[in-house]
Amino acid sequence: MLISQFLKKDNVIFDLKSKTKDKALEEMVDRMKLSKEKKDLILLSLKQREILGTTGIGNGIAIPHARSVVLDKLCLYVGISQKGIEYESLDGKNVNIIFLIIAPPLDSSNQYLILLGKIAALSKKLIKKKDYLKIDNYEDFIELIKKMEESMEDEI
Amino acid sequence: MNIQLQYLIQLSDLDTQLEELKNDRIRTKEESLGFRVQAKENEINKLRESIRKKIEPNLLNKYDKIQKRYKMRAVAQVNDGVCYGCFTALPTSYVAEGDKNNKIITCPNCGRILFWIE
Repeated sequence: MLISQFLKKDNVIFDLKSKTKDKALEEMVDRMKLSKEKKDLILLSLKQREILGTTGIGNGIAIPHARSVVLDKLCLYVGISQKGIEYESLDGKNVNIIFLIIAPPLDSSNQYLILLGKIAALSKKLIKKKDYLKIDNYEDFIELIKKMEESMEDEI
Repeated sequence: MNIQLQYLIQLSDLDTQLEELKNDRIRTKEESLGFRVQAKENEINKLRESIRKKIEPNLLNKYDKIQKRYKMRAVAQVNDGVCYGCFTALPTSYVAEGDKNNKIITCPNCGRILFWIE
């Protein structure tokens, strides 16, 4: 399973406008091609997960994730903010990149946890190259992700 | 969509997450990735109660009975006429109706509350 396979052009947002966690989650969920009712329920599930514990894991990365009965397949969205988002992260730092994962309550071969693990590993590599923040188009971004995934496979 | 069904989905999504985090394997995995569950027991209960009090007592009662039996996923999605709670095909009479999410329908096999995905 490759992260890049989940990232279609519409799933990557380069210029998140929001400055706070709640607004950023709203902005990203709003991009989903679903009814307003479904989007509202997904947003609630994500916000509920944030109440249980922040998904801002530090170093400018947040990986909000939740399950919702209104979705029938695993979805991944990426949002980038040059200025940073107040996210109540574990290290108190603002967040520059958000990987948002939403999964149905049941998913085949537990892809959800596998994807979560891969993204956590990839994001740690990504932030070492701060220049990812300079990327402003999908083609360059997906190229970078694919390269990193290849190097991660080599390490295994 | 029926507003009570929306509250039931919200509660079911929360309970599914809470139940998952009780699972040692999943919790350990999340912690190893850097996530923490910092909320205290009383904060979690407060959050749960705030949703529960919006749900009509008879529906809440139904939800609790299903939740007690299956631990999670008291609300199941229906995909291609199949209940994704018990993976049984629903009778054709269930499938033929109009906007099914406008009312509360339960699976005749497992009893879970149904949400039609389409």
